Amino acid sequence: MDFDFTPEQLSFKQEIIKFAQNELNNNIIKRDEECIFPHDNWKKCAEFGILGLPFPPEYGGSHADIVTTMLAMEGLGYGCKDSGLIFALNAQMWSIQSPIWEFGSSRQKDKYLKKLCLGEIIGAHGMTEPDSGSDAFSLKTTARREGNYYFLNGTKTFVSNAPVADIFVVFATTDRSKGFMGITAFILEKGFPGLTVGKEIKKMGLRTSLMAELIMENCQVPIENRLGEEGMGAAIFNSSMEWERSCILGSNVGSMERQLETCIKYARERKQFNRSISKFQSVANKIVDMKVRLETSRLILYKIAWLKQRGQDAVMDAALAKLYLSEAWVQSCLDAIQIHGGYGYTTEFEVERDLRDAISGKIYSGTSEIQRNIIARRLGL
Amino acid sequence: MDTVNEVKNFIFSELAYDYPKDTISLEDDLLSQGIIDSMGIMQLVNFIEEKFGIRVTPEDVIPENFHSLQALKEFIEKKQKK
Repeated sequence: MDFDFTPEQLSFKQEIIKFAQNELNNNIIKRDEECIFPHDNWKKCAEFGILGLPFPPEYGGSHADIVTTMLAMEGLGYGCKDSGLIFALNAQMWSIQSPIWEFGSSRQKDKYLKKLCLGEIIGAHGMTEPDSGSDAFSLKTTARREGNYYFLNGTKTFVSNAPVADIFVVFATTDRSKGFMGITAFILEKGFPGLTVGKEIKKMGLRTSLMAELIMENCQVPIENRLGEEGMGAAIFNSSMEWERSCILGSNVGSMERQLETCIKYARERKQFNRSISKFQSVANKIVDMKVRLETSRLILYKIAWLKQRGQDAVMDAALAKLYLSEAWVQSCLDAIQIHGGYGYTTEFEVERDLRDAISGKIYSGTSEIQRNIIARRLGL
Repeated sequence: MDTVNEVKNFIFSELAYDYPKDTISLEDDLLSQGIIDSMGIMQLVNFIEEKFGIRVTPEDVIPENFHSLQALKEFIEKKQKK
């Protein structure tokens, strides 16, 4: 494995860090408290080129390779304290833009992909339903074809970006008898007859990324808005998840590094019993464990980038990375709070927000339990 | 070993090793019986690509090509001829 970054890649990472530190951290405590989606910062990220990173120039992207993309996401996580914004960007990039790019028709790419990359429209992904979460392919939403239209009926829940989205990639069954191979993906536009965005769902963390239900009641979808062929939904969904599991974690590695530096600084400055608390092994050891988690997470992450760059299967490695990084990030957040003591529990010190944001990583894009199932299967169990 | 037996051996040694393979005929539906599920299909695709030296695109991953051992045999042989 070769993780040697070019000077250009490292310089681009530094540019992203500077951009994020200067432009994306404004009023974060207030925005988190009031669940405000940062439209302006979203536009700034698009203008900087983050949303278009791996996508072709003709669709507003810069065709960056996966290693550059992961490095950039790591820089974003380091510089940007708004994990909700980072999550929302990743949700759009990997579960909307990526499948449209990979499976969309020329018309769909022309109509949607460029606008998504340029931040002119926002996308949301609807898979989870009230009765199907981890067992994603047992979904109940149906799509019935009549002439040149499909009619979709069902409810999607936990749809990230839904309250601010202009388009939705939604999965429905077109033939229940075929099970997971009877699932088909569709691109829905806000304003399609029969499509309603439900009320916003409040949550523990990632509060600047808004979430809602999506209700389809005989929602009329033109046939040209079917994404891929009938029955390709599972392949499209799996492909999105592999990208998302790999790349969304890049930002977590950056956040872990920022948090480690914050803890080292605090532990050196904070004095108890006439000494810096960093001189007490119980504190120093926690920081050392955070460093070990950071470095092992980074290695796992860049192994995926290396595998995908070579066109190799990375399903198990993506599951390993998702499982390990999300749990490592939560543990480091708990350690960071403990190191900060009472201050760590306060909103003002911004350490507790990281923990609230981190916990979701063990749930979204497949829970830790599902990642273990994937790994077990790949081990032949 | 012929195509059917190569595929059958893989399915019943890796994906459904606790399933009695001798009870499955060429035409039995592997999808509706849960012998191939949403996780197993990705492993099966990887196996077919490596074993038979063909590229399986997402467009190929449809029930018509994967629902039975006979369908898989015909799909692999068609791809090999291309």
